[in-house]
Amino acid sequence: MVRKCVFLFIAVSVFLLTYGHFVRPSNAQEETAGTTAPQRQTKINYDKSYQDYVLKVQEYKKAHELYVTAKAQYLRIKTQKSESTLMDAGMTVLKVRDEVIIYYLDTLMNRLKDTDGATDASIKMLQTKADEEVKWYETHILSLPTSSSLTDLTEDSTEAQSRKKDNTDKLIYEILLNISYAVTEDYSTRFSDLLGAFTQKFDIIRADTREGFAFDAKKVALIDKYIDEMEIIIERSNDKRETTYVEIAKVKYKTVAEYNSLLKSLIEATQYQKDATFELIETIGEVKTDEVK
Amino acid sequence: MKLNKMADTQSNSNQTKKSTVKVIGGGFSKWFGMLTGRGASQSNPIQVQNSQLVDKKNQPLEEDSVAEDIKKAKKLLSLGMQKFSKSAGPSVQKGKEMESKGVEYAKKVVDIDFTKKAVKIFLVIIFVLIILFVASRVLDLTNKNGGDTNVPTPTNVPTAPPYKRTEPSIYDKDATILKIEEDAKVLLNEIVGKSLDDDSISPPNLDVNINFER
Repeated sequence: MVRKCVFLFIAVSVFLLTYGHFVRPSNAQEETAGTTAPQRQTKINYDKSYQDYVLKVQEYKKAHELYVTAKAQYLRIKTQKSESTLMDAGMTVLKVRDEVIIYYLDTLMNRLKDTDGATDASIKMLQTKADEEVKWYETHILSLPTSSSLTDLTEDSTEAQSRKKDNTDKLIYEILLNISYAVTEDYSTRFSDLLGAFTQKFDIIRADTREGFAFDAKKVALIDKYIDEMEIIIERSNDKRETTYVEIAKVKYKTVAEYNSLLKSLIEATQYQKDATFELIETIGEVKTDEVK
Repeated sequence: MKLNKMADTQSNSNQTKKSTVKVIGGGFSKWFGMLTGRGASQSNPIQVQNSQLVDKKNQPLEEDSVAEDIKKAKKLLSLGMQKFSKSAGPSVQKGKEMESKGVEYAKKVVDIDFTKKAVKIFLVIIFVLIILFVASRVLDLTNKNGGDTNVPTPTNVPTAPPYKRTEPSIYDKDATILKIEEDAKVLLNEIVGKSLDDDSISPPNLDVNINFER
């Protein structure tokens, strides 16, 4: 009898231990596969692209220093050797400058993909534009060795300058605004989910008439008032964000001034979100406490 | 000269006195009564009449001397008075003048004191009025301030919420509530701590004006 009891105890213990060990990781794996894994991948992509971009910027600074030195030497002595040295330095700096832009666009796109609120449509649209720009700069890099004189190199530089001014800069501001908008979208979505969960829970609390569980009418009215206020605040934030998004999409060629103006509107929308979230925390505090009578 | 005359008259009068004392021989009281012109006639008029009849030569001399003495005395007195008045006149006038000056001075003193007092009273009144004015202003101000504090407006005067003694409700440990609260705090920290304008991804600073010939 005693042996049977001991055997049963060991068997139950082994079952419980193995169940806990095998079941929990399987759930975790499901969660990772469903939502976390792509985000983690984009985060890795962003970190790597940002690292590459920073290294490329350092490379550009060195190449630019060499170009400045070579140009000064050439303008001072104007020998064939100094001209050849300037050609090499110039070609390198133009190539690295194009590469910096390519790496920067790649970093921005990875950042946009890493941002939770970014929509697939906006990512796809901007990725197409970025690919187009990257393709242009890659072609430009390939065309650099064909330049046979300093005059040709100057023309190559001017071409890249025009391209950057007319297309690339505007695309950069558009991606930056989309990243900021995606951040506010993420805040808005998360807050709406939290407010929805809280309202649902409060409906259950309101319906509970058991003694000790039910709130008095005054407290219920107060929390209802808080919920209404939060909805109004988040509505204002969403209105402001939508107006800004329309402007982002409407303005084709964005400048620094336009970028700053639209960014300011998004920051104001975030301020509303902050107020609403703070009020939600205060309202939860109200639910968690009871006034002593 | 005057002094000599006076000395003569005095010596004459002395002589007449001596003679009358010798002639009448009635003592000092008689003489005094005769000198005054009453005592001799009243005390013994017959004797006087007889003496007048007996000694007619001496009688008028005696009567004249007394009368003269009296007259002289009167004259002397009047002269003395005149002289005194003459000699004392200027000093009296001076005295009067001094008196008048003194009175004037006293009046002046009185006037100065009066003006001083009047000025003092005037200053005191002004001082009291200033104090009253300042006090009224201060009272007005305090009343105004007091009015503001007595009637607080809900928009301007922040009032602390009434203290409510609380205790944890039945939902204090509710899992759903705790989860929502935790997520809301995480979201608030992100909103506060994360800037929309991220400097780390701002556009690179590139030299676009590269020219190899200038």
